[in-house]
Amino acid sequence: MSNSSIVQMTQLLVDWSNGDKEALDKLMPFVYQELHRLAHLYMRKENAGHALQTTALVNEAYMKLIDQNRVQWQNRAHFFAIASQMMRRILVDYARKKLYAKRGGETVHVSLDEALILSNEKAPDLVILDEALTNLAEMDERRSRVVELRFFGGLTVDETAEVLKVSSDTVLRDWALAKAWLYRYMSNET
Amino acid sequence: MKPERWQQISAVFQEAMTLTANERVKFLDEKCAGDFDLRNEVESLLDSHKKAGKVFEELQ
Repeated sequence: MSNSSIVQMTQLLVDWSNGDKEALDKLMPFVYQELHRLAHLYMRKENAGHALQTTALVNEAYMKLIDQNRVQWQNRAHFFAIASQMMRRILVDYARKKLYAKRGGETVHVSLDEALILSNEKAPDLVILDEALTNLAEMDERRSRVVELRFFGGLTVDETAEVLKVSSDTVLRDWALAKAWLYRYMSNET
Repeated sequence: MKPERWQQISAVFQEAMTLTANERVKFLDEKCAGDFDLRNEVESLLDSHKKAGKVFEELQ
């Protein structure tokens, strides 16, 4: 990543945090590309059976794309917010591919590095978690977002509160309820 | 589930979470009087909450 790209990415992030929606559209492809690249890189290093450290990965992408001296912690929270949605998509896609491969259904190509991202035991869980979150979002968008931000993006309670514009207490209460609901949903599905 | 019903369940659950076991029984008796389904939902979520923490750690 060249210096001028970092300056550009950082400016897009600040603009978006200040309410410029178009800045987000421009920033997203770069973040997605970087997360995807890092996910592949990590998968080669990880041993089979170990879950990917999503938080570490998102953090690495952030360090690479954004000049930390030019942003505030709120900007960081917003970066992690979009990254968490992307991580969800990347992880769930891998988990789905693994599931299809395991069932021996359609011919789905699963490369070696992709196969290493999740153990077989974890693959179905993530797919069901994704489905559960989508269902939760239909009746309760905010609580579904709390899980997405904390689980897939590794955001702290305070960062989650900043992104969702609610108090940290609300985030804690939402997190407790969402976890209970998701656990029940997932128990009924498996 | 209708959003209004879900909001009602959430509110009772979240208040119950702040109470001790003894207080909780009394609170649920009052809040869910005549609404067996509401009590069932809240108790089932409270039970799931107890088990949920560990599972989410394992996933991540």
